Amino acid sequence: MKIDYALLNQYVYEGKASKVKEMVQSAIDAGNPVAEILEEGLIAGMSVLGEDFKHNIRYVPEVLIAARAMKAGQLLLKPLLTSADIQAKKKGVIVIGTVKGDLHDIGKNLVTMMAEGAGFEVYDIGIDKSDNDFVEAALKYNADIVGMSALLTTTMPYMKTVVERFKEEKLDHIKIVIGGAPINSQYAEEIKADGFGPDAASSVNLFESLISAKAS
Amino acid sequence: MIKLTPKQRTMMAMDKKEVDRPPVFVTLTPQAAKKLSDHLKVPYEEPLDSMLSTRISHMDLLTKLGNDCVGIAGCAPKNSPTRVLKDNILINEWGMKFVDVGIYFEFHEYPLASATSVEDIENYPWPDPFAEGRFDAAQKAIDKYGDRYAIVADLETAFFETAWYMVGMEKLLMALALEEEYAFALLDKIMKINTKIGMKLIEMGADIIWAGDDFGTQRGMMVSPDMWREIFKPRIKWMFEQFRSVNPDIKIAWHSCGSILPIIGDFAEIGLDILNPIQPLAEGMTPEYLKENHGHELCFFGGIDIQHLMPHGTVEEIKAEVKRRIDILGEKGGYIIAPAHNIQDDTSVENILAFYDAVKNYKK
Repeated sequence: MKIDYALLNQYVYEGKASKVKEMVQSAIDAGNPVAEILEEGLIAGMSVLGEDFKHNIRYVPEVLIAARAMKAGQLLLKPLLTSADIQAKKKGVIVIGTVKGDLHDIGKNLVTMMAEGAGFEVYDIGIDKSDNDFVEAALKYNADIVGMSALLTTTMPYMKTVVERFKEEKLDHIKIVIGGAPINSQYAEEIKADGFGPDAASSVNLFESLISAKAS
Repeated sequence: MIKLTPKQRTMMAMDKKEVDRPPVFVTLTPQAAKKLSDHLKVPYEEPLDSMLSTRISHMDLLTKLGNDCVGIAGCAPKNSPTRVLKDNILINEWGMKFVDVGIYFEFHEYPLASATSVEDIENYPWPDPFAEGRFDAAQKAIDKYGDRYAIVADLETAFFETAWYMVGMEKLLMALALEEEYAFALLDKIMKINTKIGMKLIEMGADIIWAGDDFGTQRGMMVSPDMWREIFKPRIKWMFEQFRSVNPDIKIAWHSCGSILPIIGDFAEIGLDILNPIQPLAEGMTPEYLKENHGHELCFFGGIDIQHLMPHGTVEEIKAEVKRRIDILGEKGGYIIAPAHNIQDDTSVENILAFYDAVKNYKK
């Protein structure tokens, strides 16, 4: 059966979870390749939304319901993905968290949703995380990238502690990306982070370019 | 020129009359207040028990430093003060649980996190706006400062924010996008409670009501302008009408952090007088743009950056920025100068004093 991926993309974009589930199930039942449903049906829809979010065409509530719809589809696909599928689709591994003293997480959660939506394997270690927590998780999951978030000017200096800790541990191969309301690229440079993500969709672009720079 | 009282200075400025210098309304986190109190060798005043505590506490210290306004708000009533449960976990009269992380009380548990129906909202034991003791601290402040200082009744977290404090932010934003009925019932329930509190504070003699909910992020609107116009604008308009039914001359301010350019004109249209805090580093919120495009319909309150300038800037940079802001936003009145949020512990005493100094010594 020919699946109308454009329509599925639209349902993801509009956050229509039950429609997404329905279409993904019929695509599976019709024997379409699981990786194809994921890529062309779900990820493609989410990436359009990401761009629109970046340009203030769509906003946080729409991203949240789209991520929820996408997840509903992914849950059906997950048990069917073969290890070859997983290897093929894996863009890179990201460990992400909010730094110590800071309990704010909606920005981090949006980045997580968008990065997962783009095909990254993301480990969200949560809020109020120490340099130890970041290092341990990065080693445990064999991370390519570590993402740190802070909302407060009073907690943002902790990012520097984490960057320095990664240098001390000689984990230079792991790229560190930071974001959050008070952060800018100047601050990222100052603390020697590898990049700054001004919003969720731009952060995903940044992850992609860091991974391809690493590969080359 | 006759020397103006702080109240006269504030109210004249809000009537867009030229004054000797713009009025000031700084607020502080407790840590910053402690530091300043120690420096000035005055007793540290304990914060009041209110969700809006930072806006209404440390007023002796702040008026001494040069504030022209004094904040009041509804406080926790006698029978339901904020209590410590265990391990730094606090619970307030709304049932919200917080964890004390040293610099702030951050959310720990949302009491209606599992709400799904209008009944869940209706059956919740909501605070009584007129519970005994709610307005005691406000009355004390009015008695003490009301003759001389502009009384600003704080009603930030008017309903959108308090609603997400009850259920969680992501849950509420999704429910609004999915048009779930309970979300609208929740907004209305809270709006009615807080409007009653606001009306009472106006009746008690507030000069300005400072309502608010954050609709902006660092880079743009949190919700779409369309959603805002459909869900929030009519409700805010209703609140403003209630406030004016108590005192037709009340000045109404609205606080929203972040970049909210698309809806500023809407706010003016529904009767807003004063926009706060015009967050300086948020996308597009420049003083030139705001004064040029909205200066004819709105006054401004705020405008001094606390994300970079106050904590990390030099005394000279602060003085230059204060002058620049007053030159632009204060032209022909219409400006209360203030940091764009509470000054936190990361700002030095020297920088705070430099701010006041620059305002008091302002010359064109």
